[in-house]
Amino acid sequence: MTKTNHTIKICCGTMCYIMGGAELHLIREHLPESLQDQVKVEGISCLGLCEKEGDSQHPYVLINNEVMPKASIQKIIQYIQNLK
Amino acid sequence: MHNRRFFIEAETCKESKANQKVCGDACSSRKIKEEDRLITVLSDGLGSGVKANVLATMTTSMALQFTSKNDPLERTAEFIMNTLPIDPKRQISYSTFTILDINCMGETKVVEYDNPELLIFRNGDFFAPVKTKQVLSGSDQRKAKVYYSSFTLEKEDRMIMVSDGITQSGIGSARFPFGWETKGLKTYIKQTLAQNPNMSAHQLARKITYRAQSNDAGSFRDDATCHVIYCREPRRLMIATGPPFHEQCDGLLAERISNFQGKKIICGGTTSKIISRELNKALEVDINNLDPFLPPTATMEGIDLITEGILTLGKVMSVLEQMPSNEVKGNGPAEKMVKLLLSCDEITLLAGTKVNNAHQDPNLPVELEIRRNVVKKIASLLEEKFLKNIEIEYL
Repeated sequence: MTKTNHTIKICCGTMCYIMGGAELHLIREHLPESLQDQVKVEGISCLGLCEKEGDSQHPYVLINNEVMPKASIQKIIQYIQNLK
Repeated sequence: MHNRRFFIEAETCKESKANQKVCGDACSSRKIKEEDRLITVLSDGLGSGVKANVLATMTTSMALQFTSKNDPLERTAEFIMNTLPIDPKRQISYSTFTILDINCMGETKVVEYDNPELLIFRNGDFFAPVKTKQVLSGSDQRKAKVYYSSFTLEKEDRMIMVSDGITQSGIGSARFPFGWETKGLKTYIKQTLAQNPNMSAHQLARKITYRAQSNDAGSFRDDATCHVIYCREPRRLMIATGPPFHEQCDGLLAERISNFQGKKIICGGTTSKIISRELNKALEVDINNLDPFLPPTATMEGIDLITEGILTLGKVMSVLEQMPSNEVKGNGPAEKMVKLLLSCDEITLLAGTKVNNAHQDPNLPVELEIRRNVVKKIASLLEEKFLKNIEIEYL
């Protein structure tokens, strides 16, 4: 299967960026080969999720439009693998 | 300028004598915002190296200070001549100087002492104002011939101030036995501007300096400075940063940026989202980021640059602070913004005053400055160091 069927949108807002989002931009390099063709990585401007007071769970990522708080490269890969 | 007839672009290009770390020329400008006035002083200290630099710097700072306080130019010149120390070996003082004082109407007063003459380029040729000679005598009976002149600047005028390192370049060579001289310099300027009539002050100053360097076979025999002033139609730029305090003003912000004539920068994730929403234009984030220390830039139709907010502004501020000359290295978001800023003359900053609550967490690992302070700091740097016209509007 070579079709792209998962979209990862990484929040590029200031907060997400300094709280670990910067590393997520490199996710392409860490994807296992089986996922390379199936995932599309995009940037997205601030989602506004950080403004909820006392609830800081940066960085945020949207996977197929589902919000993932406290995202990490491992967490994203695992989540996509479980989706299959 | 008050009457907004033209903008004055001023640029210096300075090179030290070969094997000298310190340049013995000094050139500095001061913009007095309240009076809309620009004062520039170029001075060449006797000899080269640190001693010459001290003399030249003393001269320029005294001249700037006196002139900005509206002391008569005669008194300024006399005071400087009496203050400068005499070289014990050569038994002469001194440093040379050219003082240029341009007021809000473009009326220019010039005082020249021993520097190569100030060149004024107007309508394809050089224009020489009437000069009055005055002999001033210092405390030790030294006589100095000082020349005064005054004229009114017109749009598209250029003024070129050089130190003798430029006019004497190539001296002793077969091609220029007496150096390049003012005559050679004039011919070169005329040719260069005929080829490219819109050349910026920055480019012209660099071209002249490099040409003089090649006259000297690649290594200067004296410190060389070239300062160019160019009066031209201003290039405008607008930066929108931060969301307005009241949400009702979102539309106003978008309208201001969309109707603006000139270059446009949006600085801030939320701000760019507001403008994208109000103007109904798609916003795309470019994730292939070259600067790993800053969040990536985005693109939108009709906007020249879109960046993240406070981190990028902070970097812009430090780049501007540390810049020794107008050359920017690198191609990250902050560097791109600095390049745009420096290529324009009149900059309008639309600063939204809404506070981002997420940035107020004391546990954050990095310093997140308050936007208003950073904007003010950038504005004052651009104004004082780079002589731009800045307007800040708070929304």
